[in-house]
Amino acid sequence: MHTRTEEFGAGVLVTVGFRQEKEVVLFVDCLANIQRGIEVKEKKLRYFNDYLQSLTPGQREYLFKRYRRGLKMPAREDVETALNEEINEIEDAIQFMYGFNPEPREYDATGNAKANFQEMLMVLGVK
Amino acid sequence: MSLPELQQLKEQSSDKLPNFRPRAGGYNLRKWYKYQQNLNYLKEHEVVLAKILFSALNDLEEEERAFLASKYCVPYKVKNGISVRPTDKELAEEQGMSLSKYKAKRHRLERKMSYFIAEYELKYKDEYEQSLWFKHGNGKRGGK
Repeated sequence: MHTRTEEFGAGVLVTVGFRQEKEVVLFVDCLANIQRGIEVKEKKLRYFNDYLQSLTPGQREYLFKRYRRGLKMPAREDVETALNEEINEIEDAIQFMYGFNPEPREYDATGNAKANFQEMLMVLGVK
Repeated sequence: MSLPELQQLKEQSSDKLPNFRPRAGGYNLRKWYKYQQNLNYLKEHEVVLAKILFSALNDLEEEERAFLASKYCVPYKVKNGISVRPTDKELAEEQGMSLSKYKAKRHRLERKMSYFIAEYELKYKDEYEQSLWFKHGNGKRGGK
């Protein structure tokens, strides 16, 4: 299949075609990757919606106003922390489901800065 | 950290580090506090970036690391809805240096950092590419 003509040096014209063997494989890989990503995100959304249903109407309204409509409101810490924990739990569950990252890292940021730095290197596996 | 030391680094690495960028040190240091606080929640490619930063920091001496930590490894303050670091003026007063000397020292250290970061970027290049969830094509254009 002829897509374009290219010039090499003086007056040498070459017709270049579409390489099916190369391009199609890459394209199909891309599609599969995207499909998988969509699946994962749909699953996350489902779990998150389930969590929202379990809240009281007041808490749900607060979250909707703050994060969907972007209104400036005083933060309610109890709702925020519970939401954060739930999100982390969902992420962990998804990771275990798909085998992305079976070993969660454990690192405590509070404490002595100097000891923390050495510990951080250990956790990352640099040292 | 002195000027001749920097020049020595520059001469040693002039051929070896094609990816050297003079501002890479400061750019990576700005993410120090964020990575340290959220180490458990980093994504795969961010883990590799954190590895690059912390192994570069590990190559510095302890005194130099503490000097940079006072600027970069501190919680943000919020001013008018914008998060800000402590300014150079405040930190220079704390350390008992003049402002221009403090700035010069900091800039030299950041420059030194960017040599180390260029090294470790080469070392962790493959790991970084593997950690990306999505890559577009094979990185080459044209069908030749």
